[in-house]
Amino acid sequence: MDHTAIQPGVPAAKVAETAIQDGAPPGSPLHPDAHASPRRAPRHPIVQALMLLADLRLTVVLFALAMLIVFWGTLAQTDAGVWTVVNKYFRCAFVWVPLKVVCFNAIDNTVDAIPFPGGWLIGGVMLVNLLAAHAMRFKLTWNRSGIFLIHAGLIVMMLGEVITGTYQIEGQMVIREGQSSNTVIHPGQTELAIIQRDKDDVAKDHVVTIPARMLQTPGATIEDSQVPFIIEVVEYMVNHKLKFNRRPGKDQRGLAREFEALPQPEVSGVDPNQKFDLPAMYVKLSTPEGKKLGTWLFSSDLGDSQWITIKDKQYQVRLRFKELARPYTFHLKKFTHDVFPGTNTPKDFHSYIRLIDTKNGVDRDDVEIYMNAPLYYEGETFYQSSWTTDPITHKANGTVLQVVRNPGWLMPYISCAIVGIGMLIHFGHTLYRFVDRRMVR
Amino acid sequence: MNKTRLQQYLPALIAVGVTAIYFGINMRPRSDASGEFQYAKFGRLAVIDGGRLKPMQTVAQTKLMIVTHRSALSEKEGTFPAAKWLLDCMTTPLPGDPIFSAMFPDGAEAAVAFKQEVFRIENDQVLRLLKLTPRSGYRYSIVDIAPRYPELEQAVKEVLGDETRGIPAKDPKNYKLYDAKVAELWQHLNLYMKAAHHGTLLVIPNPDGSDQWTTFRDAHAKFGDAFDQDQLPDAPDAKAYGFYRTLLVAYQSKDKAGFNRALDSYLATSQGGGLINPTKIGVEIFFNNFAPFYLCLVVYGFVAVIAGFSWLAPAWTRQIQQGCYAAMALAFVVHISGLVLRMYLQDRLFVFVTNLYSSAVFIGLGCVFFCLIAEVFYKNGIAIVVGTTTGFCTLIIAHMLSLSGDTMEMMQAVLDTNFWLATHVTIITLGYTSAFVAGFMGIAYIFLGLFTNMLRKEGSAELTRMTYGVLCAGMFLSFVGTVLGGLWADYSWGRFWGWDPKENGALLIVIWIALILHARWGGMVKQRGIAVLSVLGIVVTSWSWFGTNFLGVGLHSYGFRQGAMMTLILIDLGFIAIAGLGLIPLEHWTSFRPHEPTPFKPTGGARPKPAGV
Repeated sequence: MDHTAIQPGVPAAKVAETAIQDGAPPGSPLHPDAHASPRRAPRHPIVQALMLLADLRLTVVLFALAMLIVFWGTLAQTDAGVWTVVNKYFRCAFVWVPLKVVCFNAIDNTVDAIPFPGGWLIGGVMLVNLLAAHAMRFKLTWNRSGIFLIHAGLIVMMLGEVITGTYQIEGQMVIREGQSSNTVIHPGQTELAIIQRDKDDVAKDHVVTIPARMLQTPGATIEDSQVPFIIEVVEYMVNHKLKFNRRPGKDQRGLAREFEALPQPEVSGVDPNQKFDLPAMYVKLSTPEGKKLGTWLFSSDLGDSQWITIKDKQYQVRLRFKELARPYTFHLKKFTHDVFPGTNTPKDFHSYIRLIDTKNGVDRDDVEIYMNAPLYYEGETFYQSSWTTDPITHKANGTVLQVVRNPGWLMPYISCAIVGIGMLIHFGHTLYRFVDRRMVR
Repeated sequence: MNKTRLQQYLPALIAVGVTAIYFGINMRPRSDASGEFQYAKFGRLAVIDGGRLKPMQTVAQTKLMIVTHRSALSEKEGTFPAAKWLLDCMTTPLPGDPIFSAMFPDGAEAAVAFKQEVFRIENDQVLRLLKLTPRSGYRYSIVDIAPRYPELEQAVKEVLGDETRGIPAKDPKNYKLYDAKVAELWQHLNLYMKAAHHGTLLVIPNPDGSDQWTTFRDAHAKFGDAFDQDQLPDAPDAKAYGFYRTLLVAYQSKDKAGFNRALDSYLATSQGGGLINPTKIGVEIFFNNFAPFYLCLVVYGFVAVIAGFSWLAPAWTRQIQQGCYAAMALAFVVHISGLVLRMYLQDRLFVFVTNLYSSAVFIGLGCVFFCLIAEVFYKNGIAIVVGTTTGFCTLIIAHMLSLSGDTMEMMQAVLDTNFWLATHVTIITLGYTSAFVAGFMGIAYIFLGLFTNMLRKEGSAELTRMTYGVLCAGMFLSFVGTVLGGLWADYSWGRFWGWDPKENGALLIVIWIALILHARWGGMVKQRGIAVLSVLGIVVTSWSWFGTNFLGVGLHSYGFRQGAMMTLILIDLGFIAIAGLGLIPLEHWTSFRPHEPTPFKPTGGARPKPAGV
């Protein structure tokens, strides 16, 4: 570069900086100083604070932070389940991002981490930034109304995500062909159930449940008057697989004598087979009087309960997914599962169901649930999710329905209608001006 | 007057003429020489492979393409259709196969398939394993491999696992290059073995007219004895078996007349009942032979180069560019027609994108389309270069992807809905397209500004306005596309937003474009800044388009490709480097260097003003 070519006193960069007259782009009213006149008296401190909050530079920084957290939240899914990641990265104020994720999975350090604002914090500040910007520069013109609508729609969408994150309930309904079910299981919520059976009436069973989050720390003890024994946690596994126990320990009882549970990593969010975690745990049990009852293994993989006898009373104990009954019943008449000829690619899976709801007097014999055709009933949606197979013949013998209740489901629809109109107005206006200017030339 | 008119339109006419002739030559139907084996006719036979009913020609061509990366068979005697290779494989029985060794004694003796040099081995470790010396073309025959076959088998077992000895299979994610290449060679050898085994290709129609067809091997078990005793029942599947057996036996004994006769009489019957649509078979064969996307790739490549050099001849620049525009437009017509033919073949109206391959083809189409429009508004030729370059690059990517098999594979049940494929997928892919076009315009800005004088005066502002327009379109399309995806997800499996990697990728594009637009509205970036940010947008978009597939993820992971992650990273580093070039101080840019008269129009004194750069 020939330095002498630069005029003294007017560095080239300076020239570039001052010449912004061309850059009065469409939408520029959102520029923080768009309506500021240079010779105004000093502003009120509140106005100054609002100006700061409304600054577009803040917006851009927030966008950059949002991109980073979304990107890291994607990479993190190679090692963790999608909902673990969502809660850790997006539905929180702060997150410690492991160095492995920070460095794009290039290094293997999962111990050290850097703090970073989480999704809800970034989203919250964005909301403040947006509201402040509109408060500072409210003006009703065609072009502004487009921007206003876009932003209003985005606020609705973000609120919708907050509502979904807070209130959405997901579960599964598993029905074998020819059988009926009214229970929805929630694989995300595990509990230890202690059931004292009533001799005559199932409805009078006495059931105590302990949620899994109280059982996750090794060494934790549960002592409660409602529980007939003292539980001391030895090991809790988020996911496990069973193998035969060749050399059972002396104090091992029940299932633990036959099987050994091996911890498995959490099902990764990027697993294409969409499995779910199967927790298990080893506990030491003892009576309140201090009599040792040995070490027990509870596994959510095997549906059977184990019986524990204390003072001649029998208790059924089971680690299970939370189950909730519905006031109506699904009867699976038939399940079909077709693949493309000569391949394993699923072509169609289809549940033929009879829905019986005595309370509301409903008896529909013609319900069909299949891919892209869910059933909506009583505020819940039932989607064809998967199927069960016979362990011997490997043939499909039952259906797995995804059950979702989401009070915020309408919000995205409202939001995109608003944003859509806003974008049409805004970009339509931009396009119109663009073509207009071209025509004039 | 007329003369000047002619002069004005001559370049465009010549360009259209040359391009049309190029397309026309490739459109001609391929026919067989009379008296020879009727390979083209053999290609018309309907089979079911990969779940789809298709002509034998597609099967032969895609499999040969996988093995050798060529769509035709090169032998010493000349070039033959892929169908010849498939026939040779079918009639060269596996060593020790009693059934087909007895059926094709001449084929077993000649063992043509063993001698064909079709298996590509480029990796030097694999070559060393097989004790082969590198040769031009890197294509080897089974005879070449055979002496070291036990060693190869051993290496394969170490990669793919061996149940009898308890060696677990390696996770494809942890493959080293050598592992991948061994597995690949094994897969290629398997294609021959499967063809010779006759146990996978569904060629025998079901007599009940359904799509549950059977293989030649199964049919032989059922009808073999009856055929020997000349007592074949009068059923479509028995007839098909008899036909294939006669045909293949004739082929292996070099009985051309018998082969052709069998073909003629069988094709005259309705082979598979109402399932087969002969028009469709014909269209697919035409489509395969025409290879429209490959031809467009060639045309775009040439146009990009010619348009790129058009500025070297200032007196002719405009005319050359008009010619380029015309050729580009004609290629665009062929490009879109190819996609329409695909829709017809797949029975999916308005569904442009069904897999990663077609997304590349469609992004190319979109890039060319956007640039054809931009050139109407800004007659400066930049859009021609950008459009044809992006079209060329995306079609190269598509071509690479097509090497791994049939590009019209069947779709998973959950994706099998034409409405959402036509709306969500099309629009989101157009969103990617805009981001790419904007990015390449950014590259054009950086290179033209750095090395030429073209961004002086109005040039800079004009190119930025073009980029800005494409970015706005990109914002609109990727937002709408992403939201439609959310609505599909809500409708199909109960959540609007699942934080799935592909969804996140789309969200990243939306945020990135929003960031650029807000930075511009806030005056934080101007013309040069928009160019640099748009180039980085290519990196973001390529992550969403390709990168998320490498995580092996969820419902969107339809396109996992071995080793491609590294390529993607390298390409992205290249774009980041270009964006870095854009940060060179403006006084070093040719276009913005002060005190230098423009070579085009010496204005004497009036210093070019880098307005709002």
